[in-house]
Amino acid sequence: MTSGTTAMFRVLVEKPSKGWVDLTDEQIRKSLKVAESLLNFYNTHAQKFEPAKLPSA
Amino acid sequence: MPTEVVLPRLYERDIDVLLQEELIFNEAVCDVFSSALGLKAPFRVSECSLSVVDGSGETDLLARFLIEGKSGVLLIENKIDAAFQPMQPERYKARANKMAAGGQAAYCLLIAPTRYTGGNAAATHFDACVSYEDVARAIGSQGTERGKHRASLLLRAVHQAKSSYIVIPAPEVTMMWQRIYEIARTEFQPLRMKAPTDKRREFVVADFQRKSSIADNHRLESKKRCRGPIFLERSEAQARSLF
Repeated sequence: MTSGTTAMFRVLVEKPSKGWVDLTDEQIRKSLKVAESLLNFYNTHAQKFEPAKLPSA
Repeated sequence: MPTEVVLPRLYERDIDVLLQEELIFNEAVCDVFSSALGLKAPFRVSECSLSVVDGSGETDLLARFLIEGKSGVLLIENKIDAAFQPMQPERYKARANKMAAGGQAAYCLLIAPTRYTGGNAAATHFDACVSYEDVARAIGSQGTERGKHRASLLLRAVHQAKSSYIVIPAPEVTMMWQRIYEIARTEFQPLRMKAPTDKRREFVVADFQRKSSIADNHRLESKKRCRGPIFLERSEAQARSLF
């Protein structure tokens, strides 16, 4: 979804427990997987987001 | 006629870049460093790299210098207000010793606001400490409007450091972030998550590194407090993920 120059992503993950420091390793992995997907998306579309900062090569 | 400039907030990385330039081009700044080390002659920096990583950690600025025809290396840790990572000063010293064992002069230095180094026992592991204030004075002594502006930038960073919060570490939160870091480091290497330091109770910021060729500022951080461990925003890219 886009709004102006902002791209928004909504992903489904588990609601963290009240004591979120008790998250399981698997819950952490799921969250990091989303972060990785976001990074991949950004890198794939870097030209669109930051055309002036792309490497010349 | 100088134009009035609204000074931006400088972060540690911004100051790294400023220092890199000053060390290469400003003899007065080099003199501050050589005086702090007790060197008998001024040195000139021939090369200065940022964020140099080796097996023992990261050096904020690694400067190669020449003094009386001989070469040497400065390993500089820049701190605005963040706490040292575990054994960080000791690792700096070990890196300097390792380089010195190769026959060249090698020193590790800490640059920080005076308030940071005063009474900080960890700072004693460095060969010398240089204050933001002394460097700002050296930059400002050039007498140019540009020099005054750059000195003001550093002094503003000092002021901001003074007004920053003091972290009261929460062991359970710190441990949580260590777990996240270990998983990110081993299984999600492209994220290049930075090793966490002590965290306060409400800490919900994930710090990742990006390729500098794409953008310099790669901090992904929360804009508001939330319950989950990760709320990411890449402000430069205007790409957001909330989960």
